[in-house]
Amino acid sequence: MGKFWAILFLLVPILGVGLFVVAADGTGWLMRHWFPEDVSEYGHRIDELFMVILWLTGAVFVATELCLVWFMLRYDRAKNTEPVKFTHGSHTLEVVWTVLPAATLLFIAIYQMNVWADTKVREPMVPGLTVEVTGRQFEWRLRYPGEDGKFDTPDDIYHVNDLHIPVGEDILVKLKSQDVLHSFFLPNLRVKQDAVPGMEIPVWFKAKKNGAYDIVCAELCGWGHYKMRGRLTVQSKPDFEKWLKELRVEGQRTQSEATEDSETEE
Amino acid sequence: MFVALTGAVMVASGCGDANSGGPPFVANLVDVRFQQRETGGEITPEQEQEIANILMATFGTPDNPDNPFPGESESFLARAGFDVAKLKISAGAVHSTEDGRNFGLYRKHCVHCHGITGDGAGPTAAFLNPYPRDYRHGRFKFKSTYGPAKPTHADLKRVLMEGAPGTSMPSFRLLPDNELESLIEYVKYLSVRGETEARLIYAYLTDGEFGGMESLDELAETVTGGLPLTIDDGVAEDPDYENTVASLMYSWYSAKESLIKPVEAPAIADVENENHQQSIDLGRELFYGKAANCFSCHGDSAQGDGQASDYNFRFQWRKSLTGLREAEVDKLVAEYRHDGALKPRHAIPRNLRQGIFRGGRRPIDIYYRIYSGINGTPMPGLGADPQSGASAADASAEGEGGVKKVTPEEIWHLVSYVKSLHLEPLSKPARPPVELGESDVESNLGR
Repeated sequence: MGKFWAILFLLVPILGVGLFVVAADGTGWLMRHWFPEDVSEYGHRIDELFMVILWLTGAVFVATELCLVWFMLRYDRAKNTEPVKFTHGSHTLEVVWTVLPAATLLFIAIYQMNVWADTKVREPMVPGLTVEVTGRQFEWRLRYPGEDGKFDTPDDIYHVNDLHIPVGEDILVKLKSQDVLHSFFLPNLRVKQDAVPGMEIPVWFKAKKNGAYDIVCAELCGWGHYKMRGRLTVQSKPDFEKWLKELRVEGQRTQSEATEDSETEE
Repeated sequence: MFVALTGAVMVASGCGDANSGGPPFVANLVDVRFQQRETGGEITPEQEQEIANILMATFGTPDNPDNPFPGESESFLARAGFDVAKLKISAGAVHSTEDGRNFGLYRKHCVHCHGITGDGAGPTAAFLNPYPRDYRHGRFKFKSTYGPAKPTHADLKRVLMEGAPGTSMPSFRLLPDNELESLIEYVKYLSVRGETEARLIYAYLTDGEFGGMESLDELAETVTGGLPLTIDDGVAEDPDYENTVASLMYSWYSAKESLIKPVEAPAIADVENENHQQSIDLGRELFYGKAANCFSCHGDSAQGDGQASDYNFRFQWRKSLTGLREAEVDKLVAEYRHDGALKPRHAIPRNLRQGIFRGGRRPIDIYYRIYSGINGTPMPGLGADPQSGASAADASAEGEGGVKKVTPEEIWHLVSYVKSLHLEPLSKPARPPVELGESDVESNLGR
């Protein structure tokens, strides 16, 4: 009986590691279950940190499981007929198995400090575009500063859910929330920051590749949290300027739309 | 045995064919009660059932918005001018086909606030301020048409694309265009259905002419009129009054004729003009002047605290209860709420200092609101009916001599002022507040 359970438990590290290998491969039936495409300048550091921690914890995991299985086989009741012996423990062993994990954790803590600092603390010297993103149930309200480059002036450009940024520029997002906690999550840029009501939190990133990507809310904010999606469009600087200009002109519209195109009714 | 149990559960939970299940439309009991009070008549349960049957025959069910009774009868809705293919995308249970087409859009995106019948009283509605729109009255707030006219297609699309900032109506900008078009058609369908129901209730209370029809087809025929709108040459015929559905569809179709045509904005009204401050100053004077009279509701500091009269109520049925004793009002309100009405609220003037404009913040949007007022609210319009030239200001003139009407050009200055308000800190106004003249003191202070 012990052998059966030991083999069953052995399947855990084998299948677990196997699953990761197949998923990370990206070509098998588990494809697209690994990282989303990374189109950011700085996001690779987070991915690298992820892999370091994965290998480290993976090694510890496999070692622990193998230990477990070995104990199950070695001390199987069917094979050990001697009565149990009680000891007072081994001081050395206890020190070892406290210090080693503590040292590992300390290593991880120090190793990741720079990644955290570079992506969250050290603001870029000269941000390119600044845009204000306000999360509200259940959409992302956007505000571009307009021609004067300042917020809270009459030429601010307002939009919703459809964030455009120029490619290859440092973008600074001032993240706010109008009601409850939200989280501004750009999976393809490895950006995630909680939007806290009452705070204005700077978030920065740089996108390297044109395309349309998801903005997702990553903090439960109510019944509509699951559908609080936005779309991030990364485009060339001229395209972006053109789009922003159209938005600005539309935002200052003083003429009826009906004069332009005829509507098709039923 | 496990399989049998699962199977039994599945069957019991109701995966039958399309016509057998699905939620039904809800009868407008609030309107029945309201109209019974207004007319002094009474609708019997049999008549209520007849109304429900007529509506079912004409408008189908939430699962099947067309011809719920298979047979040879033509589609009434198609005859009346609806695009039934679009309706079928929004109607029914939420599901999608293998090639990625989505169905049941109304239930996926709208029903929990706006209700299965479009009554603005869905499960989440009671928690929202403002309440979701009740389509059944055919009244819409944020549109480019004048007065009680219906919104245009573009107006409805704008609300879906932008949402209504400051309310719980989100933006659906990211939905594909065909889904938005389908939802707009479905909203119109619910609105026409709701107004038809109200007219049927009224007809039963006043003539009762609809009783005694032989078949459901006959009933529905009477309601829809059986005549298609002829819109080939771009102009629909105005159908006869009895053709209820057709005449309602006509009002939607002809909304374009009530489009507000804004005058050209003066140069200083442009926010990038160097003299824009002049426009703001002109607007400020108008805001606190007697011609526009904005401050009388929106307040001396434009925070929406200025009402000089009793609070208005949002719901018509609640408004009709003013003047009764409080105990009587409470009892009646409880009866209305039992019929499905939401808790009545006051219609409060907008706080213009917040910079949140529910109907849109483009200058043209605010122009529309000031020109035409906001349908279904106490906000009056200052502009003239583009079709007839009659002015709303004429109707509400207090007979005081020498009060100059606000010209459409001056509305642009009001727009400049309103748009500037949220950037001006209340504690440090750009200029001292306008001195109200002595003649105004009596009407505004001590209220």
